[in-house]
Amino acid sequence: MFGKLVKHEFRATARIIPFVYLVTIFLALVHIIMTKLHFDAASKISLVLMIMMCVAQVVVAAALVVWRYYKNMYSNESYLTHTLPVKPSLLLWSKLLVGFVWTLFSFLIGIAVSGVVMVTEFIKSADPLAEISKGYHSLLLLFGLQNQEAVLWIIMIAWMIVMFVMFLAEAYFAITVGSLSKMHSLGIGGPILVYFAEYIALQVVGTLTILFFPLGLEMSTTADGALAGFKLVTQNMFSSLNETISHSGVSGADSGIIGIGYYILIPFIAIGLLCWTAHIIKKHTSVK
Amino acid sequence: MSIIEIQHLNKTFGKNTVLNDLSLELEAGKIVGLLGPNGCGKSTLLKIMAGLTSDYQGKVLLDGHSPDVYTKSIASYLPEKTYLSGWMRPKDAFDIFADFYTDFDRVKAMEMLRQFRLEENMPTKNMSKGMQEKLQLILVMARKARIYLLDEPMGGVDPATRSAILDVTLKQYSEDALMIFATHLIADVEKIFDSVIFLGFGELKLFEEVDVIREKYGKSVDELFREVFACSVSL
Repeated sequence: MFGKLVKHEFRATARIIPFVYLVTIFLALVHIIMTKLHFDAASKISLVLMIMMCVAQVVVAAALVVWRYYKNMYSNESYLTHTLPVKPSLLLWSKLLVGFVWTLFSFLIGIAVSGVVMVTEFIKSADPLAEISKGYHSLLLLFGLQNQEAVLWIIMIAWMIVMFVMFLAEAYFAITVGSLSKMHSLGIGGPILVYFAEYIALQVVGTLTILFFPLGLEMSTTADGALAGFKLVTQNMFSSLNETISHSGVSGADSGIIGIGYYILIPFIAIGLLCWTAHIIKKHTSVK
Repeated sequence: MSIIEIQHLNKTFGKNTVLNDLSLELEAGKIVGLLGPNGCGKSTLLKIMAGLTSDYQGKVLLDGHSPDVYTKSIASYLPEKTYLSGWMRPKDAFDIFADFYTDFDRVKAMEMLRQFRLEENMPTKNMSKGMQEKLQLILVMARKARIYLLDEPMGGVDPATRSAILDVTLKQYSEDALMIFATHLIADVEKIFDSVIFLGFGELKLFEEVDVIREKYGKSVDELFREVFACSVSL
């Protein structure tokens, strides 16, 4: 049944989202052609439009996925969705999977299109690959990962996955809670209100965890104040801030800690929100 | 044996009690009219049985199960709202039903589509309200379900369409199933009912066989309904 839900979810969402990608790809092609033909003004305009579209397509895909969840689960369409003979939690997981794929795909297409355009831009410079390689190696150096490139890639990919899932978990939770029978009279306002409340709550949790969770990146600077690099430490940011304040005015090389506890917590918050959402769908569904 | 068993069912929306300690048992092989004034809880009762509302108190059993995956597989529900996306064509809707309901008969659905003169490839956004209602009725009646829950299947359609809907409903209904038919258009449909439920503001006012009503009160169901709800006569 999960596979069938995923199939129909893709079928319903595939009617709009790919067209957004086509616009981005079209703009990228226009830019490449204009650059080749040395139409500078048109080339610059198409580049700006393409960059805007790369960002916009992720936003548009995410918005469409979230809107689809609301329509399909809590508006008239829910009369069909909730009478399908499937476990209520499968409805959530199938929409999460499809939503995740579309948002990820939008991001990757944005990266791919930007990459192609960057290459055409760099072709103009003397040694394009050296420029890219230099930037990449200074990033590895900064985080002390010169010999562990794989770690950087794993962290970046895992981070991207977590952030997309977290975004969808927050949105689905807000829509589900905001559509409970007690909030029916608010209409679409219910999910919006819950989203703001949830956002504020997460910001508070985030700030507290960043300050007090004993995990951070120690940032070291050179004597002239330039950034020397980062190191993972099990100290909290609050005590580091305290220390910095008490030693203020002392000259020389400095160090400080950036709390990263919240970022460790995000996957657990996302899982918690999704499980809670699944529970509400199962036990407290009440379509209008 | 009862295929639907409801005991002490309560449902509130805020301070408003919609169903108040409702108890009821319904057997298979009957067409039951669910009648009552607007806001009396008919749609809410059907939604609970269809598994669309889970925040209620009391016991609701369909073939011995509380509303769950199994009951959704044996109950075919027609809501009063149109639930198909605007882009969806009849063939897309048939695909969904064929994928999820093992009792969905695509051949029968196509036959009814032709009978109602609907096009297989016409998106629902281009259909009139009556056409959309016909399509939803096709989806519901093309299933060989054990329980049919129909909420105002003839609301908002012309008299000719009403007759067509009634014909299709009766033709497709299998005699070992239970059909609950909620409607305001009592005079048009009372001839098909075996029994009727009068629901008055969440409470069961009457549950009786139609033949008994005619014998006992000397009135048609429509006449009795008007008397009970217009004059607030308690039975």
